[in-house]
Amino acid sequence: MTQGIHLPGLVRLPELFRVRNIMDVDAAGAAAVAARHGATTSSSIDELLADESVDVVAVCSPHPFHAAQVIAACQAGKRAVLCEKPFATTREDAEQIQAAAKGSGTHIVVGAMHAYDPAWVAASCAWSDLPEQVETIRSTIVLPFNELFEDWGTELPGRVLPARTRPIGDARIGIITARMLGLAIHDLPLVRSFLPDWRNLVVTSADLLDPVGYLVTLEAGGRSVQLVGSFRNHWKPEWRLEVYGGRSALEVEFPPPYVHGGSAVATLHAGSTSRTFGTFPFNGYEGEWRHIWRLLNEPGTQNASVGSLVDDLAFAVQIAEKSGEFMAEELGE
Amino acid sequence: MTTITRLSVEVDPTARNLRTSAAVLESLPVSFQRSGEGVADVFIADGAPGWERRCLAAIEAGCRAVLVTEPEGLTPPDLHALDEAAEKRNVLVRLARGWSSNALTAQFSAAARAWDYSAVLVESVALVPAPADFSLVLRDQLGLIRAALGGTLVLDTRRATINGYTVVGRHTSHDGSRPLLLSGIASSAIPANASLRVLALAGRLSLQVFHGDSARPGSAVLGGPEGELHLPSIYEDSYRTAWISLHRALASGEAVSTDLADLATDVAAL
Repeated sequence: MTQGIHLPGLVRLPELFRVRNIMDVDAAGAAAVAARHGATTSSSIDELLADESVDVVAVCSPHPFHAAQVIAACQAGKRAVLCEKPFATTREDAEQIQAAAKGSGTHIVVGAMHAYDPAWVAASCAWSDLPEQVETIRSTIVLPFNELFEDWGTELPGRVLPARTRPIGDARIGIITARMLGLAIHDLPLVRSFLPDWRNLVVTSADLLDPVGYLVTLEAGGRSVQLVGSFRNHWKPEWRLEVYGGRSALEVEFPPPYVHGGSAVATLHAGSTSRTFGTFPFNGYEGEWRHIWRLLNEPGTQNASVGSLVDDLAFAVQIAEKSGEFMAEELGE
Repeated sequence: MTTITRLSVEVDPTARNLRTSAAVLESLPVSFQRSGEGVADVFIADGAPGWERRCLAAIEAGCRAVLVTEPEGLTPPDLHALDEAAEKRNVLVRLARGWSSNALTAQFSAAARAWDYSAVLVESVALVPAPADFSLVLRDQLGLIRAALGGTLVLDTRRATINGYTVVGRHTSHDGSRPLLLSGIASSAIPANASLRVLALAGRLSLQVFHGDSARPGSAVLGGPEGELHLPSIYEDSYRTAWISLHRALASGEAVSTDLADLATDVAAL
């Protein structure tokens, strides 16, 4: 994430941010990256957080480290933290983050990039009563394998491609859970914004798609949610969110990951009228950083509450767990 | 081959049918004309419940063909019985169905047969105006998939939503089986249409067709490693397509139709 997305994004915003410190347990790797930015290096989180020139910390470590590192950044008095999703793996960890951020006044931004895509933001200001009339929400994340877009965004030295074997038996339970927290999670905060009764969700089906993918359906408060995700060896990305209400609908086509090809295109439909938002010149990754800059420089800029981020996480974890439970029941039959 | 230039038609006098038929008749003046005296060549039936009785009466009266627009009701045995009655009298029965009768659906089907990239998911969304009979919407959605892709459909999980449904099942064809996801949604936000998408290991198919009386062209795209093929736009509605198909069938003397059997298949899959 750091090399593929955030550093290429930050260098596009030299008037807003400067890279000060690169932390990696691999000191040589950190040094190689830091040298490109004239930054110093750290090999531990404590060392990084002791650097007083650092105002904002981007947490891009493996998921299990997120919560502790975000809390440490808060306790070190950093002004803002951008944490990749999920920002915690349990609700308890998320609540500890909430407490730490409240105590330090640190702004927490979770890297759900589509929430900061300018087309999404513009559509959300215009969709009127759509959230009240929603019936069906469809999230489609069908992408080529990541390396295609990584290669269009950066060069990753020593990249090791993951094994792509078809999971069988009980392994499928763990895989569907991981797919929810690894891929579906990207747009779950957006989905949740249309589900007032999300705490009472029921997973009605869960299946894995070949070669790497999932199909999960769920309901909450009488509303239907369909989650389709797939990585496969096809060049065309489809990253889409569809929200259908009785009188209006929203369709959002998001750009693929890694590349900086502008924003999503969001279209609001109501009868014979359609309004389209986008393409804006920057995408959600850059939108995250612009949002952080405004939080720190423009008084009155609203940030998602940490409580809301905790709910986003709880929503994702609930879907992941219930998808696993559904699959376990299916396998048990 | 029998040479036929102009067929006489008798139109089942329901408001819906009169309106739909008037539009088609006006656009096909060389092929069809309203019947004067005697039994018409073609009986145009509205598909509202009871249509089979009116069709049987027309068959027994000696018509040569029957065209039914948006047939409702009837069980597979009823449909097979009607099929047998028509076959016994050598009467052609053609059904005009909004999505499966669309000319683009047929073209898509022909192109899809040559496309082979190992499908991993079949999904379809039907957007219809409210109020809707969702059992009919689902039946016609199954009909679209059957007409476009062939294979067999098994429905496992059916969930009604506030104003629609979500169905999960499996689609099986000669090259294997994959998950099937169907949605029916009542909404006035977007023009009524049905879409179909097939995800494959190295490709993607998509089809979108509009309501049966709309000549708005749908879209059909076949994607593979080399790029995408967009099939040509067809500015012809499904109902008119069915009339033309019927005329051609009678003109060619090939009074054979699988439409009733296909509908029975769709009903049986519900």
